[in-house]
Amino acid sequence: MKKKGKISRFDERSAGNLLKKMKLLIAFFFIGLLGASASSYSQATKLSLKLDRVTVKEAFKQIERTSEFVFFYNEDYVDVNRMVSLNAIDENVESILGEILNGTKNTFKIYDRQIVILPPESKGSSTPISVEASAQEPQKKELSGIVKDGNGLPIPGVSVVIKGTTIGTITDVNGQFKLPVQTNAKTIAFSFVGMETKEFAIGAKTSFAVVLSEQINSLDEVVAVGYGTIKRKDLTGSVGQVTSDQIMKTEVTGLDQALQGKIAGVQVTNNSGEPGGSVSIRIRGVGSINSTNEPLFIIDGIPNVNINSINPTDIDRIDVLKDAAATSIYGAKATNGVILVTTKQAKKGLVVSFDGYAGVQSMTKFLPQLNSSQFAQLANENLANGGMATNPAWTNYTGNINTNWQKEVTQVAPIQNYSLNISNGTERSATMLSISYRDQKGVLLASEYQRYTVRLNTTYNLSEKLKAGLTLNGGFTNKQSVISQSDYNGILNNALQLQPTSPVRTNQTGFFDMTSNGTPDPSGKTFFNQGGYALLTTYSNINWYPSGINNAVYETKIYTNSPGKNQSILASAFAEYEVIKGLRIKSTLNLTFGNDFYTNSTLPSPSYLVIGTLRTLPTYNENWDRSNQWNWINTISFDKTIGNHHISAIAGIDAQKYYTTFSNISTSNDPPGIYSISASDPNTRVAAGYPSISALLSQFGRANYDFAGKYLVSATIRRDGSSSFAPAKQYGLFGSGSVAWRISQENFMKNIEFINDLKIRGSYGTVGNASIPPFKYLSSYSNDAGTYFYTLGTNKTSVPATYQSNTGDPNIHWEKSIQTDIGFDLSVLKGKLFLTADYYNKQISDMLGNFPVPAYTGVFGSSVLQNGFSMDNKGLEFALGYHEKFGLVNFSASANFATLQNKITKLTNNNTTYVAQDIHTDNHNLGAITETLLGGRIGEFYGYLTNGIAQTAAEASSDPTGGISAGDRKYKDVNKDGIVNSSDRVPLGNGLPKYNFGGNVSASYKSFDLSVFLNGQAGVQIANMMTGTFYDMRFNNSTGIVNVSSDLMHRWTGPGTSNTMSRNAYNAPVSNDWFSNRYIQNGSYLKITNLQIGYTFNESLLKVLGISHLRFYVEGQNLYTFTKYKGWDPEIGSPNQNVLQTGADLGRYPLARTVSIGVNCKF
Amino acid sequence: MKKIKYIFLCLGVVIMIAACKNFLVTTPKDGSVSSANYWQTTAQFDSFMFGIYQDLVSGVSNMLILSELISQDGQTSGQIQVPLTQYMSASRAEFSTHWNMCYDMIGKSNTLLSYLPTASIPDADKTRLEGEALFLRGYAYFTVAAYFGNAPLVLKPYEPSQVSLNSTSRDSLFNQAIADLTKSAIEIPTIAQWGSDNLGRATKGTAYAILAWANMYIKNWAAAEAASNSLIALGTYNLLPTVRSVFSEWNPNSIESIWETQNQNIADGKLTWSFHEGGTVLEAWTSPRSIGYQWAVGGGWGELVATPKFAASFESGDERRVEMVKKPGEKYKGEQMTDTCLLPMNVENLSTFSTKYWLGPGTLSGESYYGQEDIPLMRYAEFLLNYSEILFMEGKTGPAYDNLNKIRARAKLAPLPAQTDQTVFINALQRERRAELNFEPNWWSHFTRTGTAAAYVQSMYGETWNATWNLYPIPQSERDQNPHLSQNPGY
Repeated sequence: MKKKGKISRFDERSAGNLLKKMKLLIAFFFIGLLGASASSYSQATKLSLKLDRVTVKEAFKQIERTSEFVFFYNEDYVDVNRMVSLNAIDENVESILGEILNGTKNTFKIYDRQIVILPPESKGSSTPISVEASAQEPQKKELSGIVKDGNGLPIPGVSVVIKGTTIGTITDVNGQFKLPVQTNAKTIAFSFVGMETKEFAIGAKTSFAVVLSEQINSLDEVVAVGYGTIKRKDLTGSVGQVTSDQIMKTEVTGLDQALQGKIAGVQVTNNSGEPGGSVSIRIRGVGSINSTNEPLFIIDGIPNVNINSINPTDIDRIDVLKDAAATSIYGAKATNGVILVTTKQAKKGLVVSFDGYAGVQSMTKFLPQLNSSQFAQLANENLANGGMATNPAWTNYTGNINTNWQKEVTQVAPIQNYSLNISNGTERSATMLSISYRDQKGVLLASEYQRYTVRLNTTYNLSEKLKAGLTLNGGFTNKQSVISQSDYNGILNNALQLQPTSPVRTNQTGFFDMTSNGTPDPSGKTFFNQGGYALLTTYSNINWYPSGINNAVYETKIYTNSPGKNQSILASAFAEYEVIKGLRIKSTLNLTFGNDFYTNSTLPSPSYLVIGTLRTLPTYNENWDRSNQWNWINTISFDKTIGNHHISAIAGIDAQKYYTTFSNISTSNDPPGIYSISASDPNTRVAAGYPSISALLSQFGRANYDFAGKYLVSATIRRDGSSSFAPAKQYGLFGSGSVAWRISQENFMKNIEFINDLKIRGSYGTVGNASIPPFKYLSSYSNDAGTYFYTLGTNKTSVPATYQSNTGDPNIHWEKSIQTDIGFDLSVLKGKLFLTADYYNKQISDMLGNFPVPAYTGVFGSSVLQNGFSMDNKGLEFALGYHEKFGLVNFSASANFATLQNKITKLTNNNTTYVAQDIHTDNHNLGAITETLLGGRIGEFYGYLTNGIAQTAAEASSDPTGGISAGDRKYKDVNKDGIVNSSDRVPLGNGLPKYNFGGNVSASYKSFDLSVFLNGQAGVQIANMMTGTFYDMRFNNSTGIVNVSSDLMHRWTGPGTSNTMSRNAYNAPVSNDWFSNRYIQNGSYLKITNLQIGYTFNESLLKVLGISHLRFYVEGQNLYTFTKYKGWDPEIGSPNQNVLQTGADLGRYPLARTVSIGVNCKF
Repeated sequence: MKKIKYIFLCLGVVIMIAACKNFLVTTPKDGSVSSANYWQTTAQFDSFMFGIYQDLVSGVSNMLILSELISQDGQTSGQIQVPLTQYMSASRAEFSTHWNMCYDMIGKSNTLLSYLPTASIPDADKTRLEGEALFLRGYAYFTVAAYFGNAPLVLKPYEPSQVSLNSTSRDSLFNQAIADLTKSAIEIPTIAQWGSDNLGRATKGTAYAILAWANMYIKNWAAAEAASNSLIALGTYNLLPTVRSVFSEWNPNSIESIWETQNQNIADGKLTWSFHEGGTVLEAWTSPRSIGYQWAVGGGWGELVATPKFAASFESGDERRVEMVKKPGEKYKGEQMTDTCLLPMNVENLSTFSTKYWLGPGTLSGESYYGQEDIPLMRYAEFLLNYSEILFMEGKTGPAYDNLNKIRARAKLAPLPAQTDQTVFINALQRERRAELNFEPNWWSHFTRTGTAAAYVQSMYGETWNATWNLYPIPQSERDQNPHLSQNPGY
């Protein structure tokens, strides 16, 4: 229930004149109906008021300010200027009103939060009547209609007014009304407390079917805060929210994507554009290196739910807990923030809804490559410059084969998604059932994704005090992946390098060459026809045709045998009992089960083709990754208001056991085309399994206190015990304290009309990160699942070998963070404009690191896992929102912006650098690394500085870059020691954005609506690792010629020709492709992530079809990216979820552009 | 109603308390082995010991490649030879790989030795295990001292204070190695004592051979001779009759072998491509690039081939040139080839090829890049050449030449007359070492030890040798980790 907007209608500050003119008489009825709910709030609410000779009107206003009550009265019948005095302490509203109205003939009625001051003559009629205040003018027609809420349920008591007049009525118990009006009546307005007011032009219409939707008023939104909820106005921590309205306006695959660009300080990145690809969420930056950086997801109170098994359409809202005040209730798991997902629950009545969309996806961009004649010319130039024999097939190339391999391996791919939701609520129970289906093909050949979900949410009111409920969710996903970012083996990188003079398919049987006029020559053996595809053979000249890279279209056929299937089931039941008023105990049992089944299989690799046979054996392996969890949560909560003092508290225990089993069977020698364990050669089967159990036992408590809604204090404590650590280190204590001051509730602020609400918040607390591998405090020994051997004896028998795979540190414990947050929430212009701003400082310490130790210690891997690493994340966050109605146009806009400053403050053993992280492994740019330096940011790209191209032989020989000739790249000798070597490398940039932002604009006009979502980042660099492979025709610095960027047309060909592109020569030194600032590009971007235009059908037209709501829309996703980045897509994320590789573009699967049409329908 | 209330409350409290007890699991349940349950049986100690040997299997190829390239005899495929001034860099990964191999062996030996005294296993096993572990640690320290000079001395399992150790002098490292090897030689079994099932483990003979060699570095010729005599007294070893038979998949652990890596028999289906894969890359690396699967494992990689000058440097009539080294245009039929390979004339810019490890396509050609033949770590021929040097330094010129001539005789070369001139002897010995032990791990170290590297590189390849390079650089990565470590002068 919302009141602010409504008050303004009756508040003289804004509507005094209007009120005087409006001689609105409100008649009240159905006391029996409304009475049921009327008593609850008024009885529960105790007020303390001290009034010293104020007007009745002022008295009403005071009550409105200190409570949620709203007054309705007609000044003609109520003497609002009468002076009253009052001293009420902890009294209910009835007695206060009794005192205020004492001595008048006015009576009052309370309908929930609405207080109606009745005129003296009113007796509270129990039948609906239409009353017009001034009957001087004749009525010519009667308007009638029905008012319903968003769920199609009639709303009684809605005031129906002819705008600019005093003529009005209210709806009856069936939501219906009848109103006689003058013929010249122009506009009819419908209003109800907590609902958006709606106005319609009358014209010739006499019948109105009106749907009132809930008014947007952020202050009274309920916010989930972990084991409970709180109203936004009472919040002392930093919490961001995304609601189902926003989710429904973006066709996201997963609920994680629904957060993209919507909340300040929450960076959401698609790590891969493949269907069902992984998504990274960073709340206030990176929180860890070796344990997870992903926030804790809690779905309806349940941890460890596979979020891919949740249909985004089922979500009511997502709350993102950011600061310690909000997260510390989750203690050791909360360093990276907590995301609380609340699914939709059934409301009263039966509603069936259907949502669906279908569309097509396409590549947003193709990189410019040499065409076949350019390629043929430059390929032979490269060979000739390197002193190699040229390829006659490329001399004077006149063939018409011009294969664009990028286009060959991609496709326009269909996508479709449907969900059906049946919701039924009665007095005693509420049930919501939903099913959904998604089917998506990828823009890269062979990739695809399907998802099936079923969800059931039920609650039963077993008695007035006992409530119980059940949730079931099942989600099955099937995913087919292709290798997309693995050096030159990735399908896309492969496609970039394949020769445009090679055909994809061929009719030529057996072996053949391709001649310079583009025709097959059967006397050669460069290619072989394998099922219609032209494959390179090992007979090909290795200086011309690289081995290890082959027909990418054929390769996509190979990967179709590697599906991944995931099944996630969850069941959750709770019972809640109200022991005495305000004291509740609740017990919840959550069971989850997950099975990740994925296989990898390879057909015999075509690149080792000899005499028509495929040489390598086919391999197949199956992996099962099963997890199940039980989680029992018991809480006791308490809520009490005494006068201006409001106290609420919760205490509980949360026990969790998590079992996982990973099993793997790998085989080789399958019969062609058959992929199963049973079909494989039994002698080649190798099986392995890794079970684990972890347990977490937590006690927690939280207390909130506020005085008169003005001064708010909250404290949280949590004790976590984890099985991962040595017995002495198992338990940890976390907690937070926070305060807030609603300045706008102070008397001195009340006269500032401009400000509706202003709250200042501050919080401080500690949380942890417990998702670190278990039992690292023990030294462990491994034989690599029985594959570690030595060989002994005359018969060379394998004997098992063992090594110490982990050097235990008994002091291992969780990572910790201390977070300070100061912020304010401001609402102005009658709540139309709001601003939330926060400053945060998150000091993360005891971060787990595989800290390097000198190799001479003999420690395996030369590193020891230790808690010894500290880092700060600090920044500012702003969220701005605005909504306004311009005539028939409803407009709203929001924007968010966050800064992030990351700094490494401590490394162990006085290290000044953490372990360098390789970000690429191919021969071109060997040494591409990130370094994490003390005082710097996490994962800095680290390499050489280019210094132009040596124009002459003399310049080359005198350059500190050794071994170069004219036309080769020079590098800066940073340390001035006369030679360029690895000590001349410097930090080059960072893939963590300094700025993240997002925005949304929504508007509706009559039946049309429009919404646009934007998302972007700035102050960020990308290491475009394709730079190496993409500019050098010598394949991977090995043998063979590959296609490259069309930029090579501007290569160095002699003194003065280029100072940026090195010479095109087979024998050019590797140093030309060293990892340097040449690879680093500006990664800033602004994306139009989503644009939706919808049309809602007139409801009266739909009635005949039995449809209550019908909307069609057109949507575009990933429509356009404003960026200077030259690769496919600047939204890179972290390959392999490795935070130290953030921003390294290894040729990842780019995000597709999707255009679709959809429908939202309710019955 | 009141009753229900209290039942609920009590239930809640009971649940909360009951749940606390023994809820947190404290030991791994995945069957993994930890310090809590390892080191119980002799078999576990043995298994850990095999891991130390495995370090050598994976490290010896690098050791060999490194010295071959530095000697300039070896070159990589079709690449311009990196000048030594650039190659000898503290940042070069090959040096740290070599260093890491030695210290991995040391670390593992230290761990094993630390658990040995308290283990409940038979005393005889303890003695044997101590002897073997001390041998492996002694060998590793000897290698560190020989190649790197001053370096840290670590004799205990990892503890945090070790990260800031200072370097220990080269002499002290040799002394440590000699102490370990001396004690080992008492405790470690002989070949016969080990029995055929343990063929391939280090033996008393191995300990003597390395002990003799270590004493050569500190010029304790008497001790070196004593150790050598102890080895000969075992009566176990002899030269094989022909040059070719020393390198053969079919003849592992022959009577000439004092110690060799036990490379895995891939035919048992255990190929896993993991980092500790048994077998050697040398078969693929030393065969001509892209020669084809029918001729070489992996089709031939040619990553470590020899210079034409290497092949040309043999004395005429040296059977080792004919049998073990191939030039373009020559024919070769390895052990596994079904046909005779004619080396193409255009291979690899006029390279020549050692066939010590290139024996054919292998039983699973195309599938594997690993050969299964063992790599010698010490063989009797090598021992005899060392013995020859020791005897010469002890003034026993005649016996010194006798031993040298045994090696020449097998290669069908005429005996050299005994001469007391040390330079003449050393030149003859070094030439013999190169002819006999090329493409093996140890030969080049005798050039840096005896200070003959400069003259050799100058005369053979016209390159200037910097005396700095007689020691490898201390890996830069180690000095980054621990700035207390001193770098060898000149790097």
